[in-house]
Amino acid sequence: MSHPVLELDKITFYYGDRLVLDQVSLSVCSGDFLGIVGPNGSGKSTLLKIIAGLLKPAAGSVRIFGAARENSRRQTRIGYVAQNVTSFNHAFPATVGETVIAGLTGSLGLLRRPGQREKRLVEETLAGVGLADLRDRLVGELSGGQQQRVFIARALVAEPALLLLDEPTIGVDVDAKEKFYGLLAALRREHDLTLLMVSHDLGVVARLAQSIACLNSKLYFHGPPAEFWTEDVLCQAYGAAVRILHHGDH
Amino acid sequence: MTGLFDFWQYAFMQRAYLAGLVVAVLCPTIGIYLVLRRLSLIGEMFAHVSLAGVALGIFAGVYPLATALGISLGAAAALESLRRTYRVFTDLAIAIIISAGLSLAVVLIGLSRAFNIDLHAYLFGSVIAISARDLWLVAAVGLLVLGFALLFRKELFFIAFDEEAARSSGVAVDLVNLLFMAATALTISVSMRVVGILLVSSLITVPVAAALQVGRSFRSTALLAYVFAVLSVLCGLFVSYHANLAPGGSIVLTAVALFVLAAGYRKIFSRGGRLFAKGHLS
Ligand SMILES: Nc1ncnc2c1ncn2[C@@H]1O[C@H](COP(=O)(O)OP(=O)(O)OP(=O)(O)O)[C@@H](O)[C@H]1O
Ligand SMILES: [Mg+2]
Repeated sequence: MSHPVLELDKITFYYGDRLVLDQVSLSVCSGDFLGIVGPNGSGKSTLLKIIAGLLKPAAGSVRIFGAARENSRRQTRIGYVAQNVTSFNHAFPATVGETVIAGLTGSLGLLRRPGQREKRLVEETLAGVGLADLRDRLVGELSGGQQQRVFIARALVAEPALLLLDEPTIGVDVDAKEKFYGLLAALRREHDLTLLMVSHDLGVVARLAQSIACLNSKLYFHGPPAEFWTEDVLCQAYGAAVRILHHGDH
Repeated sequence: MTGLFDFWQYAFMQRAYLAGLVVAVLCPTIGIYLVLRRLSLIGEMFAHVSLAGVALGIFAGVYPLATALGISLGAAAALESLRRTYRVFTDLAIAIIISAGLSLAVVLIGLSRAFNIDLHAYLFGSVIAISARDLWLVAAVGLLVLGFALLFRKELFFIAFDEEAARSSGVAVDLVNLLFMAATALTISVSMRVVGILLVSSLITVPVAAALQVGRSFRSTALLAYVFAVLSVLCGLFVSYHANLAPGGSIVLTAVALFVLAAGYRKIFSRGGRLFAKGHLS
């Protein structure tokens, strides 16, 4: 029986005095693939940052692997790839290999150096995301899609049990996108990986994810994709414009 | 018999070279992370604050390097508290501390009614002024800072590249940042003994900037920065002795010349600029 990897209880968050997340409660089981959707500014990235431990909610609690967020020593089992990850300083002189091995910093802990095992892990991870040939290239000199894969590899190399991806396929071409989704499927099959992915591509999320969370400050919907396509969910969360789009689609 | 390398018989020149070598290793060690995090101005900040420390030392008749060290560590704490508690933007916080340091220095220099030889040596660097006590302090600080940078190498790299990703993957970012600030304060206050307050932050940034022109990985960039800094100090001290110049100027001029060479090399041998590129849109 699968147990909850992540439990959010009435998460409330403010930026200044703007309410961004309003009592969001959500639970994700081990091995699940949860797609998070919602209009721009609906708090999706904020929610991922709270789960990743980068922001503290004003109220509510986050439990990861059954332990409270604050005293969770298992931070290293979370992989997080930010939405704006490719807008780093492109003059930074780091090779792909150097970037990916940095992903092991937290799990190695202070004072321990990466050794043979870690180097092998990096090779395997790079091969997994199709970047083995680019190991010695500078990250700043790669294409946007390649950079995206480098940063996903940096998160994957620490073998996280929970992977948080914030719009990972922005700027990735159609072909690479399909490959990327294939990679996610393989990772989920091979490792016991729980996946949270924010995306604006409702079609892809509905096709791939086991469940969907629809957010707009409040949580409007959380359930299997089949139930998601009912009009009132979409209308409530996105407003009326979506109804037309949705009908146009079919 | 006289030769170009006769200076080595003088104890003061030996001290200058030893202290210079330590400083040449320390400055890029700290500098590479400062430059890559776009915090080069912090070098300037500690230099100005150190001037206040030196002036205080001279005014109160205390060992000026000790007061400079103390006041720099205070400035590091002030910067953190301005940023965190008062939520001042980093560059503004730096500007405020620079102003505080410089104005305090001006007042103290005025009070001691002397723009004396000591102060001159601290401002521009000096080859004859480095005492055995200075050398010991430089060596001790050197060991401390290098030890820190070696032990925390992977954390410093990750934080410089992507602080948010480092934090989310369980790196003790706040602790490392705090130690790094302290290491920066220490490095600058001892380095100014050799290079001088006015130019110490140049030795932090210029060799790194030169290395960034030609480095093809973080590792090679760091190694090159060491090479450039050591070359600058060796050449600079040599010229300084023979032409009777303040070492700060000749050291940093050498570093700038190396930067120009590196930038030229890059222009000839590779297309496109990296350091000064706007960053291609992805
Ligand atoms: N650093 C910040 N300071 C103040 N307000 C912020 C900050 N970051 C986000 N916000 C606000 O919080 C709200 C939620 O932002 P968030 O980035 O979580 O939205 P999102 O759902 O990820 O949107 P998108 O689809 O555009 O990525 C927005 O209204 C935004 O303006
Ligand atoms: Mg977002």
